[in-house]
Amino acid sequence: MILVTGAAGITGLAVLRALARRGASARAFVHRESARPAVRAAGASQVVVGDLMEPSDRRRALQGVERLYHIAPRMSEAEIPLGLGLIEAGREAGLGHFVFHSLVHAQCDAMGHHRDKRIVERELIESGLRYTLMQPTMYMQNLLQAWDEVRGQGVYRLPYSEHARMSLVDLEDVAEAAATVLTTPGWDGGAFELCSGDRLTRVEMTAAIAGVLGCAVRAESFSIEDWKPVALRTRTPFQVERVAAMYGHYHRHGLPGGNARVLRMMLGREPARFDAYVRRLAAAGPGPAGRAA
Amino acid sequence: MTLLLTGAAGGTGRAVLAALKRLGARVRAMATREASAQALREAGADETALARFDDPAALAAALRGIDTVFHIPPRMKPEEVDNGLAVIAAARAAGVRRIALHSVINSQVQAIRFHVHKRLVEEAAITSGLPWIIFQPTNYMQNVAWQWARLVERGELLFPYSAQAPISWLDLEDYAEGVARALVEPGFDHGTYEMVSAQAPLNRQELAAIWSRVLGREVRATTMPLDDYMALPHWQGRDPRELAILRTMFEEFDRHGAPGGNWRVLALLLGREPTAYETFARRLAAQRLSPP
Repeated sequence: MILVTGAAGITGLAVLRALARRGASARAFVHRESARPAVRAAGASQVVVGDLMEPSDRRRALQGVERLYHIAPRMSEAEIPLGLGLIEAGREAGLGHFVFHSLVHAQCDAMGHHRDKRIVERELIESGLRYTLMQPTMYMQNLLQAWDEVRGQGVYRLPYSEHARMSLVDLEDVAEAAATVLTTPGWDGGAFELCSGDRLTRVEMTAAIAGVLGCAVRAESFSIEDWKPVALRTRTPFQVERVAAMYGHYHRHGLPGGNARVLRMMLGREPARFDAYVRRLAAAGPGPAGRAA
Repeated sequence: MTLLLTGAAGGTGRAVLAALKRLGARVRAMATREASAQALREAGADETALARFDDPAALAAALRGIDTVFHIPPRMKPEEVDNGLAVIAAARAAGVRRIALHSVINSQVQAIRFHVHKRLVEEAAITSGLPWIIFQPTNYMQNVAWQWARLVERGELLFPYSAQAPISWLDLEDYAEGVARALVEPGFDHGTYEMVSAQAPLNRQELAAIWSRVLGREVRATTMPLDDYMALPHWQGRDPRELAILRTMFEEFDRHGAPGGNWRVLALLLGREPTAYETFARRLAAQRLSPP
């Protein structure tokens, strides 16, 4: 049995679907009862509802589990205690393989969530458990959050420079690589940077989008100070500060890391490129139906 | 297109120089003493540059006209971060296209002092604005070589950490070839590569079993207290600050081993399977035991 934590998020659902395509049995760990239908639909054969901060819930979730794919909530204050708690529970339960969904450039301290993930990586390396570190770069799917504005108003706006160079990866490829690591032997100990090889500025992304949509799309940026009050309506102050630090780093340095070589090896084929992703997204049409792309 | 190797005169530098020359690269080797520079020219370096990391003018001259700098920091130096930042700053100023780093496996593990240093230099390369390649080698299989006499004559595989600690192993020859290919062939930029040869971590008891087969005699895994080990003649005359940094590595190995990395990445760089520990052991034994 494979346990997937954070199973109801965008990454978790993609990993569950990739496992289901291989016929692997997966147990989904979710925080809320309301997430049950979504993870069931994604192929989870079992669902555990609970709180990963609770030792008894962790034990219950890991019972009979051979391999774990741990996805922490995004920008969580609990990233480190959650990771450490699962490592401890995994050791007690005799877990066979702990796969940690980390990120590219965990070296970069200027971004707090990178530092937190690096600390969990370190604890895992020292834990004595068999482990694998998955280090995806920015998802192409981040475009989804702006897609209505991109289509409707012809502008792709974010609070960092449109000239910052960003390495991109298709979440579906990340999920395929995760399923490979979880269902085939020989990936222990590795830290794998997962990137498509596309390293694009937002100006270049909008050119690709315009080519697919057949209309003009421009790239813009706006001040992080204008972004914060809007963000605070839906996020905690901690999360807003974390995301602001991330955008500040992107503004100064971009996120240009990784190349296609490692992901190509893991997939046994070329990773999906950004223009192919945009065509898929456009073909899925407007509205909620398109969100699955 | 010329590559600059810093720290070229050490064991890693000489192996990488040889591998680069086998691929036909043009190499400028940096050393701090003329005697080392002379030896590097004899070993195949097309050019040499004399420079210290704390001499900005000499460093700038060493980097002039360079496409890629492969920075191999001298081992266990307290100045490692300053040296790395100086190379990166001088490379940017000199218009160098790309920075490559000889870093270390699991630079996340901060209990080892030089991992702290190397992680900071990695971050500086990633945020330098230039393309980079970061190589993260694990322990060299060759580290056994300085104890060859003890191994062959006394049948002892001696280190100052637990014989049960799992360690991942890298053949320096694989490393040099993988580095050279990634530096010479296109498509490896912006990557961080964990460099591991053996397909699974091996503890010292497992290594002793391999050496027993290879040498045809019983080899035992023995453990010496760290203080006694650091008092061996091998370490005499070394800077005590460097030995203090080295101790943090042995202490970490004793607590947790160093099992990180996966061989598939090096296989990708080499285009073949990396070297198994026993294959390395047989090669070393053939070199050392063959009649002159």
